[in-house]
Amino acid sequence: MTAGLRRALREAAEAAPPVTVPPGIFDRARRRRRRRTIAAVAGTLAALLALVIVGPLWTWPAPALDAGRPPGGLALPDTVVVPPGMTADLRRAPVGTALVVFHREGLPGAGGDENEPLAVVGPADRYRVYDRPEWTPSARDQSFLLSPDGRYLLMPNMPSGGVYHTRLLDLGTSRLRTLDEGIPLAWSPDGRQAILVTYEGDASGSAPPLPGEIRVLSMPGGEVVRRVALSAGDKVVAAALSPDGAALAVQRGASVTVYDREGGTAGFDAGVALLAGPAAWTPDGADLLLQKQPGQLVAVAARTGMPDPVRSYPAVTPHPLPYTADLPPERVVAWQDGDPVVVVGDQAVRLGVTPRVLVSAPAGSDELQIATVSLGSAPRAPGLPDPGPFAARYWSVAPWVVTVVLVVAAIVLVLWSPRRRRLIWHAVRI
Amino acid sequence: VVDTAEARASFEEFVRTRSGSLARSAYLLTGDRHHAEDLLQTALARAAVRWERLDNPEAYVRRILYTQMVSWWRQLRRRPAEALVEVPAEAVQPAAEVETRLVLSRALGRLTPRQRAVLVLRFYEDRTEQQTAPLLGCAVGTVKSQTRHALQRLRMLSPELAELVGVRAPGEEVGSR
Repeated sequence: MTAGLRRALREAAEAAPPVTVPPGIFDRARRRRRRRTIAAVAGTLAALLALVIVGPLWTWPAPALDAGRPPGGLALPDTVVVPPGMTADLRRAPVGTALVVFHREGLPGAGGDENEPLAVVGPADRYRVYDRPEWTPSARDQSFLLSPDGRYLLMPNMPSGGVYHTRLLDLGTSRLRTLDEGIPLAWSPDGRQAILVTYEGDASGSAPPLPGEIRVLSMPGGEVVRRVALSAGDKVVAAALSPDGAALAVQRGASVTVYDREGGTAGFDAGVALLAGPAAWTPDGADLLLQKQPGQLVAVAARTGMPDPVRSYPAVTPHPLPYTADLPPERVVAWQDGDPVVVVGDQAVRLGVTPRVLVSAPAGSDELQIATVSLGSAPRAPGLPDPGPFAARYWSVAPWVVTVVLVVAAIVLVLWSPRRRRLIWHAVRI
Repeated sequence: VVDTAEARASFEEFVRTRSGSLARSAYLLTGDRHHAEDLLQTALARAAVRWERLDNPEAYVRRILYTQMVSWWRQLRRRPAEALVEVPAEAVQPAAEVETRLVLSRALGRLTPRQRAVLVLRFYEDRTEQQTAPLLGCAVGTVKSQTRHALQRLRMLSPELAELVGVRAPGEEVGSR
């Protein structure tokens, strides 16, 4: 019944136009297979690499840490080190509470611009870096202020126009909040208030006089609870609140003025001496410590400036330190059992009959601050630095990894599917 | 190196002796010289990379021809639209061989790739249904139904081919061997 069809098919086949088979198919096919194998191996490796690196990043952002109960307690490590490479950024992995914050050239994440990152060390040797978005003023103004409880950083910020603002970074959540106008000067010893100074006009210039205002803010809310008007004159170089928060000492040039909450004022000429730091008030609120020359802290009566030789602390530096004219080598940051705790260069030292080093930062650190709440515990030996969660550490390189993977995947697709290309060509041709 | 050289020589000998027959099958499957060339070269290339391991190279190449043909057309979805018209069956007039070939080629071109493959395997290569099924990767029953549908469609598309493909009623078994 289908013999005719068989015959017709054979006749059609015999009459078919010649079909050519080009030489070299054997070698071309094997070359193509080798390329595909290489591409497949490369693609697989790239996919595995992407999976290993990018996969865990889905856990970002890390949850905020409970700053109230940090693991490992609040004891200071007696030594802090330069954070390891690829240490997590604080904004992606909050540290909760900072025990030590320091700045030093060459920290991970340093991009060579003027905003150098900070190293943040939390409980249990958790290390983070914080690449500040702030414009960093001169060292004399201090580029950051760590709150006594270690929960907040105050930083000056000058976006444009010469007007400073103060920003508050919450180390428990990594949230950054802009507070009132002004440059942060100091935290109160109990951490409940902060002192800012603001000037009328461009404060970045060097030409006094400038009228302005001292503002005391309740923290962390940021409401202004006290204002002290400043007449035109020298810039404010230091300020400190008394332990009970009632008296405010402000130094402008050589003049130190104490403002009582009730409105009374008193003052004296400090000469070349400088208020010795945010905890310059003695615990009883009677005296102020002044740094008269490197290695010498002098106690004077807060309202008269009369020296109190009994409470002075000569020769406090345990080792020679570079002295700069702008920054007092000794900054009193707290008191411990009646003795001042000072930051001296790259060390925090408890003064007394025998000065004792509490914390040592890496050599060359030019700003060091500690959470004074941690002075309630004896310093401990440091453990291995914890550079943070994997996802937060490598998040910054994830876009590069994804890009490389996509490029490799595109190459693999092209090499892998010559048939696809041929089909497309056929479709176009027909 | 010696193995590869031997394999290359064996492959080239195969191409020299069998490419003509394979090309005719490819042409019947595609109905186009260029498509036939691409189809045959693809099948030969796939055979080349595993040449040393092939027990029956020709069977392998032919199987690639059929499966690849179906695969290509499935991907392209270029099956031409069929314009079925009600044309009363006419008595087959004696026609010249050339005209019959042209009519057959056009009709084959309007079948589905699998139907073309079934017809080529069954009536050009004279394979049984049992031999055809594994080549197309389907069941014997599928080969039977595809053959029946292909012949019915040929009759519908080109009534002048009725004598070639038979005039059995739809559903009737044809050509079982």
